[in-house]
Amino acid sequence: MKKARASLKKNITEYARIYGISVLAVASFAGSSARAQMVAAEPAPNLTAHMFDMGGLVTTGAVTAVGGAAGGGIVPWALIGGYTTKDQVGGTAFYTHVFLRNYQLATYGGLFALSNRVELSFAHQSFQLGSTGATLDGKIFNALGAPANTPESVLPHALRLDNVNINQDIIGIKVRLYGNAIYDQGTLIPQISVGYEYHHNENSSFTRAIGTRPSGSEYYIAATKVWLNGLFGHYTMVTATLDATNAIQNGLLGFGGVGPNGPKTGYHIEPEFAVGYWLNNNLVVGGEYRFMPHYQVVAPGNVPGYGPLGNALSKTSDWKDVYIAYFPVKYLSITLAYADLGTIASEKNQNGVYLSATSSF
Amino acid sequence: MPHYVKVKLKYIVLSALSVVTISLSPAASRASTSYYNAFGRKQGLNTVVGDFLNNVLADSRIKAYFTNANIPALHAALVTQFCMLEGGPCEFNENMKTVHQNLGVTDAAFNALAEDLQKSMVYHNIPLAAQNNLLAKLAPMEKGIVTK
Ligand code: HEM
Repeated sequence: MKKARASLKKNITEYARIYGISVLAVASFAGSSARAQMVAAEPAPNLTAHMFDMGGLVTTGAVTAVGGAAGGGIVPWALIGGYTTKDQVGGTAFYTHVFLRNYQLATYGGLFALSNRVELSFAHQSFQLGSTGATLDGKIFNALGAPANTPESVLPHALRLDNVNINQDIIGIKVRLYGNAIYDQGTLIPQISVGYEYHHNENSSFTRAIGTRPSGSEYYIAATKVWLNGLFGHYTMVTATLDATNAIQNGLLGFGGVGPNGPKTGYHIEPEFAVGYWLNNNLVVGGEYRFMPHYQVVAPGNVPGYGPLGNALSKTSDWKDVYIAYFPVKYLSITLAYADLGTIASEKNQNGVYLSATSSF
Repeated sequence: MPHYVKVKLKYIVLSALSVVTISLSPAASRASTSYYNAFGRKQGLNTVVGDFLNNVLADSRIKAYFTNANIPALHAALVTQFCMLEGGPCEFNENMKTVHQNLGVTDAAFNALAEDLQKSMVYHNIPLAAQNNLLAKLAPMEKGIVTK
């Protein structure tokens, strides 16, 4: 037993050495205070429920994507959050909780909107491993060939995952470049916005331990078209977004991944889609699909056992959801969604209920 | 998911979205007298516009714009305009830009007015598709009417 522990420690230290980092460093990164929303990626679209209640006729102003930006649950839309017009300043605040099979994701944040032109957003995400953290530690022991019942304390701090929360801060900016989704009717021209999100994972010793960087960026361009007289005469929305990102599981597992020669930062370009259909002025149903980049985490080879472990941890699935958003009043939305985030940190079928509230002002 | 499945999926999602988009594009050409009828023709429009203007004149956000307005003339003009926009047998060709050019209308005022109209249409149980068709015709007028 002693021998096994010693060799486990040796293996891990060896692994750490290879990447020039100390996995034993306990120092948890004192996160920046700027928080960005990050459930999925953006704050749900401030679906101002009444569209002309865009100032506003349409309730598009009050839904937020997990990243904090106005959008659906996991896809940023081109709409600017809140209900601002050319001459107004507004904003939204949101809280989102996702109950997955093995994990929970709690996110809060908000955004400021300036003149329906610029949106500044922030979000703080807490990905709660719960008791699945201990399961993951068991898998790490397993990969390293440690005997059953090896106490968690043998692991370096950064990899003791029982009940750990992986926290991430996201700050974002979105600028409307062209068009107005509400006023531009009778044409196919969408509203087009570009956005940038800076993600910072507070558990940097954890991301380093699995070979990824603690911070990264997303650049996106989003096109949103709203038909006030859409399908069957109801408001209908389609959004297509192109995202350049190096976030692994949206940043929860860090950024960039590892290659044969150490950490990599390369960006992947992934499309994202969202649709929304207003059953009436207070009720929107829709769905979203977000293609996710695949990165290798944990260096393959060199340390025995880490190859398979790394491959298992690297599995990423596309994220998708179906949602219903209710606007009891223009300034408040409650979103209920069913999200399917696939495999996260080797645990399959991470789907479950997504609950979110956004208020706009 | 194998890479080729992923690529294939991207195309499926893309084509599904294109179908939605293309099927929505000729929405404008749907206008027929059915929307006009849904409003209850001239008489129904008269009532809806009447309450719409009542809402506007009681709306502290925008009522100041109308202090010197000729409300009966405005009422008649709006009924004729909405009648035409909803496919009714009416001719209307006043230039919205010219009519509003000296009023200093803001986006916020435009939206407030639209809200007041929506309120009246909801109150009178106008079918949603007819409501939304009218809103879709009015929304692009923002460009000409809003000058501030
Ligand atoms: C889509 C939106 C709008 C439509 C369709 C519309 C339509 C009209 C029409 C048809 C007239 C001419 C009335 C006549 O010939 O006597 C008119 C005049 C006027 N409109 Fe608008 N309008 C719109 C938005 C607004 C807004 C947002 C405001 C201000 C909040 C506004 C304020 C006025 C005023 C003050 C007049 C002049 C009334 C008078 O001098 O008697 N309008 N509008």
